[in-house]
Amino acid sequence: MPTTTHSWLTNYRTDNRYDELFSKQGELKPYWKKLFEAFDTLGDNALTARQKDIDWLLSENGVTYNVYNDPKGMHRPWILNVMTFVLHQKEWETVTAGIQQRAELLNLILKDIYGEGKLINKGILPHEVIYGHRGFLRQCAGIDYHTEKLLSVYAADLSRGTDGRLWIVNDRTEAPSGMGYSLENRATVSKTMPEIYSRMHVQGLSGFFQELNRMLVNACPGRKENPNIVILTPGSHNETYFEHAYLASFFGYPLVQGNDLVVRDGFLWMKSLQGLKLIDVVWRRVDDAFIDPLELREDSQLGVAGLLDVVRRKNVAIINPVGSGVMENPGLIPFMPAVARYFLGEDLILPQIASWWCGQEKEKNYVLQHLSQLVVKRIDRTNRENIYFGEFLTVEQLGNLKREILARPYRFVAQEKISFSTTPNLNHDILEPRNLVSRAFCIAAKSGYSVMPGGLVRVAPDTGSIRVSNQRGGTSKDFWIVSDSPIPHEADYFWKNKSALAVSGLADLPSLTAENLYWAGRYVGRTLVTARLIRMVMRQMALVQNQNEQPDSITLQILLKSVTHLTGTYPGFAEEAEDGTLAMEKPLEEMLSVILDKNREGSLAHTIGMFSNAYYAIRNLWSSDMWRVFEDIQKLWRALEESIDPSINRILKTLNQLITRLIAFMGLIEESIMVQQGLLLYFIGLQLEQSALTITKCRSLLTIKYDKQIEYDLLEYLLTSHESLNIYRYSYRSFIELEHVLDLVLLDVEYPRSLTFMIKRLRKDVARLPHSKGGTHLISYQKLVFEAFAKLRLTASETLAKTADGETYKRAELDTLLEELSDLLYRTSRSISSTYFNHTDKQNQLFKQSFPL
Amino acid sequence: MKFKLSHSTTYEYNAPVSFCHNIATLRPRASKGQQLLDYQIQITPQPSEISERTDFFGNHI
Repeated sequence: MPTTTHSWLTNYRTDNRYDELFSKQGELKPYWKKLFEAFDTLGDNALTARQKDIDWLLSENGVTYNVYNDPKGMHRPWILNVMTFVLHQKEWETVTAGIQQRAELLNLILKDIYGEGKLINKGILPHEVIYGHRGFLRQCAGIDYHTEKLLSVYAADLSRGTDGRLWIVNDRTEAPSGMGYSLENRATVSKTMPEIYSRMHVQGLSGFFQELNRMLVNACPGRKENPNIVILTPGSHNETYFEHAYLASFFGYPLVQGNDLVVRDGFLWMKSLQGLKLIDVVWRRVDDAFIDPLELREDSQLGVAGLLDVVRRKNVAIINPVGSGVMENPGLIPFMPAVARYFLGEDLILPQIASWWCGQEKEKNYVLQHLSQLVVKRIDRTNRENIYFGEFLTVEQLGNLKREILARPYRFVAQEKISFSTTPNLNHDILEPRNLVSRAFCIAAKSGYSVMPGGLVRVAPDTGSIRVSNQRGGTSKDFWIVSDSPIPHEADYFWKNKSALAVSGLADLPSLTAENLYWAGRYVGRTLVTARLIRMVMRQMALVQNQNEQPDSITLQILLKSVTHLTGTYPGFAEEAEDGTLAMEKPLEEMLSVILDKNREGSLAHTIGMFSNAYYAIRNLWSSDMWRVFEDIQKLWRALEESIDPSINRILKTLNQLITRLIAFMGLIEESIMVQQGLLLYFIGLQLEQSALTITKCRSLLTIKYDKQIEYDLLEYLLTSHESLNIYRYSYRSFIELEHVLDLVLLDVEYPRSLTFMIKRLRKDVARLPHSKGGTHLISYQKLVFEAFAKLRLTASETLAKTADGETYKRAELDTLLEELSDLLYRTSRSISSTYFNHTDKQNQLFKQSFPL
Repeated sequence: MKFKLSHSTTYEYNAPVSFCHNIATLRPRASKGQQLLDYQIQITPQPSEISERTDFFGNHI
């Protein structure tokens, strides 16, 4: 029933018993009416336009979600619908109280089962529900925590039941995700619809996040003013990596992985460039069992050996404490009311979805009889797999399920089907009802628990779907709690950052981040130089008649060989392949492989892949401009990969665009990341790589003396691929001579693309590394770079251009120099790695026990 | 009856190892039918950090 001027609702069909828009009497709820009236003011097709704005903003900011086994690869874009989900303050108050109560209860249960065990002793909780749950970690029993509350971060999935109230569907207590996405959703929506946002009197989120920050600070053992807080992530392959990086940069805490941390002397330390930094609080996004390969899952690469021991000694706080995963347990649901009465003397405020735990005889029989109408889950695998929808199972599957339940009944819980409510979703200009699930977030605060006014809402991918899950391509919505009167304005996301470990100096940089920056520099250098050389060679190939025949021109043959040398794609053009074929006989085919085969190490495609990985791993340091250019590069390259039989011109065009964007990207890096944040490492990597590749190029093109004409051409091509032709002509006039080229490309002290300049710069940069001694002695890598610099300064182009008497083809001096330089640079790289990144050597497991977790 | 038990574990590595975290579950527990009279553990090289505790099942770690 349209009640506004616009026909928002004329096509809105809900067969569902409960749609969020309408009250029990079938009338449009007043706050939704207000929202639609506000939309009216935007005009025709305005919502669709705002949706486009949202899509664009999210893509600009690189908001992604990784879906495991996604054929399109990782980094699926996060989808946010312009149509927000709205609840009124009055209703939310009850929900808030309910969630606070539930958090407190779960907290008390958690304390009890790992402590005194009263609940099980008194029979309020059957022991199988706890001990039979994979998340109950015996290694965590008996730990004396210094914080008052154990459960610090809690999330609850809610859905509206048939009685119109919001019901608890799931508890999330291990490392609940979604807060970062909610924050991003709110930021995006409030930016694209500011007028609507302020009209509706929506409660802001920054207060909640301030409390979160305070909670982290207060969790520090020993109550420091400025505790060292880190966020522990499983890494960029994790589903919610974007959120970890987002929260890390939002709060200003270092993002670390397991290998960045180490336990020594009963404390937890972060490996940084300078050395070890003591850590007080870890906000972990790694699952329980993976957090300590010494005491828990030994095959885990994500945790830190010995971490539990540090917790036992109260030298570090882990939020949420290890072992909290056992509370993500639908088997608890039937017993929660009894627990509430025991601990709090209260009834449960928020209703729970009806559940039958099969560990009890009566319930088990009920479940077996009604299997096809129920939803069956294991008590400890509610995250992903293993949810059985009775109505969709075949007779055989039902039989199998029955057998499993009978074998180990305590492991299973059956629930009635969730009756979702539906909420409008904008789909190409029309509003459609979609099933929704919302997640509310709650954190331990000064007095009890604090609930976020809002949360994360997800809807099914289409009107028919029942299941809502991010892993199946769901859509999210912003979640507004509105009131009738204006909200006092909160300061936006600003508070004094109390953590000492905001990366404020090079010495504070986590080792892994430093190493990633170093490799980011190397890969961008490699991509750029390779692309430029290939571009130059392809241009020459374009001039040849038949490109898949051994080229007549010796020059071209030499160029092709240089491609192989530069990219390391042996045997390539330089040698005979194992099967005796010569790539030189089919040069176009080989070049295409060197450009496009991403499984071939050294190919441009492979290098671009490595470049992308290195950058994605440090995305918490980026600016949004950088993401845009980065994405451009990905799109550009994907388009080339997907094209069938690309012509040389198409390839040249792509290479040109790639090079332009790379340069833009490099410029942005230099603007966006500070030296203290590790830009130095990036530069060092970049200079090292560019120097090494320059040496290789010169070795493959200049060390053999050819006929005059060939030599001339080679010199010109070298200068072109080095982007130095114009400079050469400016400095030396048009006639190209070897000695002058050597002067410009290798020996010039002022020209930025000259090898000597790059090594001079490298000297300066490595001197700024934390362990480089400024005083009298040079540390290993400083000596190596100095030696390289000296060799270059002590030689002259006439000596290098000469060939030995008697052996008229090889320029021995030049070749020897280049070989020595190459070796020095290689050793420099090794030395830097072993000085700064060596402790990123992964932990290794000596023995595996036989109790699986 | 009195029993004397001894156990020795040796690690051999191919390359130098800078640090190793270990859990030793060696100390026999007091239970029905047995009583621990004396217990000694010797570790070479000297551990920089060592601690003892009782686990969930009452074993000594």
